[in-house]
Amino acid sequence: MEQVHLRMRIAVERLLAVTAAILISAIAASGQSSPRQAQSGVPEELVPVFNRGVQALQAGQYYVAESAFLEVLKKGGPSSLVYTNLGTIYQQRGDHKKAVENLERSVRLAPRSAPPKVLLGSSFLALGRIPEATTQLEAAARLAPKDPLAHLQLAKAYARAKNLLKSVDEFQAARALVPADPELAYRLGNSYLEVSVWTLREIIRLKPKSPRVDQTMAETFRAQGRNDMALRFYQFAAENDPTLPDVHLAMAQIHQSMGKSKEALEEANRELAIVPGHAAALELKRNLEAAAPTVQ
Amino acid sequence: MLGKFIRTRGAFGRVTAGIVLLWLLAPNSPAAQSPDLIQQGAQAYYRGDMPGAVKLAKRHSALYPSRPEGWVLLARAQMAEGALEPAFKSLREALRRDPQNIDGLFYLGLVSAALAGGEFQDLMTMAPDSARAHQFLAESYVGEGNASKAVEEYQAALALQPRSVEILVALADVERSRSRYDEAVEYYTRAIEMDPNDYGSVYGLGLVLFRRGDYQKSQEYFRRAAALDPATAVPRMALGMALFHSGDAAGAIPELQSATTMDPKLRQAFTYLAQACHVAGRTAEARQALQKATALAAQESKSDERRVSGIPSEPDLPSAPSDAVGAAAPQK
Repeated sequence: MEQVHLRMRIAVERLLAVTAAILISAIAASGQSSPRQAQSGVPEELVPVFNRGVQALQAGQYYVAESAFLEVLKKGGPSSLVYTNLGTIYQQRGDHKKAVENLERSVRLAPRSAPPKVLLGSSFLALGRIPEATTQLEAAARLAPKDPLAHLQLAKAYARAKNLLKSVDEFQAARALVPADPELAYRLGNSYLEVSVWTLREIIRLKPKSPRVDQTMAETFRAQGRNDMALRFYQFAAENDPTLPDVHLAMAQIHQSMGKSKEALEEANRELAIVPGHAAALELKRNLEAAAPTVQ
Repeated sequence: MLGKFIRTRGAFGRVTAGIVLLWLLAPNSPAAQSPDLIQQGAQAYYRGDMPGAVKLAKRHSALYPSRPEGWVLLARAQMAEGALEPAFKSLREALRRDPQNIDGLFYLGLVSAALAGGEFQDLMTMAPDSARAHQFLAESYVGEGNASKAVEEYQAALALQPRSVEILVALADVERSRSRYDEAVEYYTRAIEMDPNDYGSVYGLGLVLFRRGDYQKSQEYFRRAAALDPATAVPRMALGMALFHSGDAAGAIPELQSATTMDPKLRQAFTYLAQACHVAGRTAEARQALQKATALAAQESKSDERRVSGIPSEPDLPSAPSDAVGAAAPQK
């Protein structure tokens, strides 16, 4: 279960590649239309230089792209889009500090734009600056609630801050937006598992001798098909709290699956002594008695 | 609250409070209904009447939204009906009201595990040959303790995603766990080349070097890991241990002290702190740290071992040859 722990593995490459692709296509789209370029702060005479930067970025020629975008900035003045592109370049080169510098400028120039906030949040995450990452990504998710990337990165930020339940919320939001993405299914699954492990730790922290600890262990072993260990831990739970419902029923079910009808019946009876009307225990008892009428 | 009301309102307050108390204690009052509703709901649940249990639990939660037991019962009935996501929400409501509710935590753990299973099933259906699917299978094998199958699956995942730092680190972790240090070093190194800020690979490489006895070199990686996650005690402790084994007891002390401050239950850090202080001639501090380590050890042995076996542990801690530790053990 080591991988379930919060190990702070920041697998940003894939996300950044996706983000870069989105930005590049946005840039490319803006490059086809002068008014949009004007809106994004790139003067018309610098459009060829800008486009050269975009092409270089698309081709992974980061130094060529950087020099083109720096030229646009030098000659045309500050532009959110150009700073965003520079931020993307530095992210791709793994220089998150420089990426942050540029993306912060971009955010200042376009405070209502979500993409630079997502990228900035990602770089903050990579640098371990979790509160700042969270602030940017929360703002991005508010601005662009239908952007799965914003939710995905925010989920990671919450996970890094050990806020597992909020992390699940964000993974759920991303998964709902792209239900056919297996990557999101994997990530949401892992996030749920982290919550599951956390609950057990919390129980141990709050009440280390709770029978729920034994019961959880029993459930885990049962799910793994390790019936002997499951029975052992259910027994611990039953000894720990002889009035706890469902424990003997689980033991009865395991015994039944192992073909041990006598033991199964005994456990079913123990369950019924705790919860007399327990429908599942009654049904199990009836089945056992019907299958082997001699078993008492 | 009632007491304050009585004190501030005098005779009027006493009369009003008396009426309120009588009302609260009356058989049909909401307070009297609360356990009844839960009891009836539980009875419905055990006799298999889930819609009935849901109805009663919802009624309880509507009447007494601040009480967790109604939310927990509602969640259990929802789980029995296969409504896992609503159950997850109900349990969060329960824990919002009472974050220490053991039943709420227990059922949240169960429902989360079930929901995780559903997501992984979706993953295997949508992309059975994807890197993530192989990664999931590998993780399952790790959970079962089958390291060689886990390595096979991780390698299949890595073949599909050769630039995945996450998979490289997971693969390295498994190789490290079965003492195949050369392989572990190779995978961690590749991961670090791709992402120098990845905590898992930096700390993992430090651990391998430490276990190989290369304490000097391991310090560099533990230092980097501590910088990458300054709020975590473990890399600081590991750095302290590496310094200690390199013969720098004085240098180890501040690292171990900072680890014990960050996590006052980190017994191993106190044990090493005691040893380092002893070697550095700081006898009083050594004694104090040893007392703390002994107290923590006693606490640990009190907690029944059978309970904790198999419970997921904290990230790996460094371990060193016992003779090295024993040689420096301070005297009481």
